[in-house]
Amino acid sequence: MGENVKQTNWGERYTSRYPQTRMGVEQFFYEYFYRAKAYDDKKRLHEASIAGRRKLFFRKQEPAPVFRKDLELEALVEILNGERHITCHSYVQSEINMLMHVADSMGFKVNTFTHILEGYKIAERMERHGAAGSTFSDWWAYKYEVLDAIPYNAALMNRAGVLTGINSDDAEMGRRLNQEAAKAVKYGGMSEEDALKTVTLNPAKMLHIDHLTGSLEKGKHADLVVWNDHPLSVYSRAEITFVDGCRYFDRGQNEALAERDRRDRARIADAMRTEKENGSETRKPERKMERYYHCDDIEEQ
Amino acid sequence: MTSKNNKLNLNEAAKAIVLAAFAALCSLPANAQDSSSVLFMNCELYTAGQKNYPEGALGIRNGKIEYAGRAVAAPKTGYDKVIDLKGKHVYPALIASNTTLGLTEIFAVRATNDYRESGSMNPNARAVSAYNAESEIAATVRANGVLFAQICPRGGVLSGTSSAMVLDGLNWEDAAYHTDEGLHLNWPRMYQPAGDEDDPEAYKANEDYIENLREIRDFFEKARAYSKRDIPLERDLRLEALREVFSGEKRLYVHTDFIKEIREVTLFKNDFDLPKVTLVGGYDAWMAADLLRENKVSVMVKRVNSLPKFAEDAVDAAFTLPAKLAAAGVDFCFQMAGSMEAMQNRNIAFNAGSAIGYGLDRDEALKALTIKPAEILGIDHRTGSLQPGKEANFIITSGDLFDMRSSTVEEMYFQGRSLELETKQKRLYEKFSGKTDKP
Repeated sequence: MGENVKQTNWGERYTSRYPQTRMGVEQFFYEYFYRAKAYDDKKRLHEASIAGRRKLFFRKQEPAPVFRKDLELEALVEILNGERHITCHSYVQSEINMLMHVADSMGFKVNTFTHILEGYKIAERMERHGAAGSTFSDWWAYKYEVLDAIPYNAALMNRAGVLTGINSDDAEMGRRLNQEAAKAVKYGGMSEEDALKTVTLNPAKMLHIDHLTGSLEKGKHADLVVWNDHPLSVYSRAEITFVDGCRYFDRGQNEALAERDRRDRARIADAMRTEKENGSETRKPERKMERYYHCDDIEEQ
Repeated sequence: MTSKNNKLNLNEAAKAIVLAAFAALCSLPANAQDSSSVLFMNCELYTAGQKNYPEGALGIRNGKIEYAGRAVAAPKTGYDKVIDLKGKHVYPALIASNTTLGLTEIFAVRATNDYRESGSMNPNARAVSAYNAESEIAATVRANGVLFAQICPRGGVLSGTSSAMVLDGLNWEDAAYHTDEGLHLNWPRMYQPAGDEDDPEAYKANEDYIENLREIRDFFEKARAYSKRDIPLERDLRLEALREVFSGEKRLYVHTDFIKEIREVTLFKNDFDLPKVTLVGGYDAWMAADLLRENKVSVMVKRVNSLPKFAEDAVDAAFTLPAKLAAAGVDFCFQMAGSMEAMQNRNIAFNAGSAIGYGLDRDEALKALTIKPAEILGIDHRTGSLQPGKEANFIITSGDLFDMRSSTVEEMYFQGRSLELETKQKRLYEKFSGKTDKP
């Protein structure tokens, strides 16, 4: 939800396609989910009739009822039947509450609201619905939708009993989520235990992988970080990171590898210089860049 | 500046008289903010000067610092009020450099953006005249201990002039602390990134670099010739704006990151005999530490919480840069330019904290948030450290200023006046606090 569905940040040309307002967004959701329900009914009838047809083995067949599979509506039917969890990009209380009304009336649950910067305004309603909230710690002022975003959001949602996480949406912030979690202690006085959970166990629960990871318990995967200080401290550095028990990052090892690379680069540069001095052809330097993946990227580099 | 001081002092004096009369009538203790002299006792005192005092005291009178030192040695009489700050920390008020704070309110709403003029040579564009003294963002930044901001124009080659503002005031003129202190030059890049940030493509040599550089040099040549005459034959506002850069009254801020360009900047400084030059960004500044130190070029160091720029760079390249510069004796200060830079200023002390985690000395970190930027901005004779004679501009915190885990700024003083630290965000927090809590 937010500005994307309304197309408000796409420039002056995007003013005619439906929806343009949160009023339209609500009706858009109802329209689609009703359509999905009707589709599901039709599909069930079709399946029943197919099943029925098999029994009439030796008799003359009725023509098969026409049924066209619709992949878009299939996805919505999965939501309606609780087979597909939804994570919803959202900003302001009006749209968040609206979607919960849509979901309640259709009999499904919103698994997680992300961004959810006004979650604090309707935290009790979210708790009743059973939706989790995964928010930024302190971002605001970048678009009109975040005018009322407050850094106390995580603490207030947590107090209301909402399963609360702190997310990054950003390659840079993603690597120091421990500091972002610590801001929930500063803003709103969350306990340090709860703050740590906002970047460990709680997101694992939102992703329904808490039986595998998210806390240090016997039987869970060995996904661990060794910090050189309290994990919520600004001074803390990740020293070693294990994923499934494999050492993926080790600061000491990393420095040794960096030193090896430095030596290698110097050696190659020397070799190139010698070639150049001996009159070999040269070419302009170029380099391949790393790509930062966004949450909705599906293709690979 | 002087007139502004006098005005404030007169206001203070008037206020003090009214309050003294009021206090006499009601027999109420006068508020600390309105006392003309206060002694703050038993705090951890971080001066950003020569020494810190674990058991310190700060005495202020008429908006100035009178005493900063050991609590036991403080003169305890002659103050209107003595306040015990046991368990609290006192630091100089922080300075946020190189920011668009007050020049933007909501990035995606064009009407709120006032930092980018059209065209490429805008040395005469002045950030100060676009400053919004009621910025809600500034209020949140102030609540985390930042009292001053260097507000800067953006874009083009010469973006315009910046000013040091105090985040308190009725309008831009009232909030201006050091007007038009510097000019901002975006150095052309020798290598241009292609693609967008999410999907960068290979860097390519900028074929126009020589031409870009010639344009800058031509402009500076013309401006230098222009500045030789006190009264120009024909007034040119753009060239006029560079006059003080040559005389050293204005600093030249050169925005650039990489080593090849940094070398060129030092050559440029010497060619044009520019007295005051500061590098802004300086991702590779550690490679040129000697060059920068010898040429007296300071650095407004890139946001500490940044990703490495290239695949071969250390994962912690940006985290370790301040410690490397400190070790090499290069003058630097912190800044938060980049994505969401206006609001991010409230995290500037935590950025310094990250740098401490990666080897920067704590005192150096504090200096790079206070006295170092004050020196660069030319306001160090008035503020930036807690020294007798300077303005009483300081913050009182519970907990460690650099660590979000414990840092809470409880009070901020500007010229001895306690400032409001309320924000719209706190008001919303209070409004909703307890309303949705689970019993």
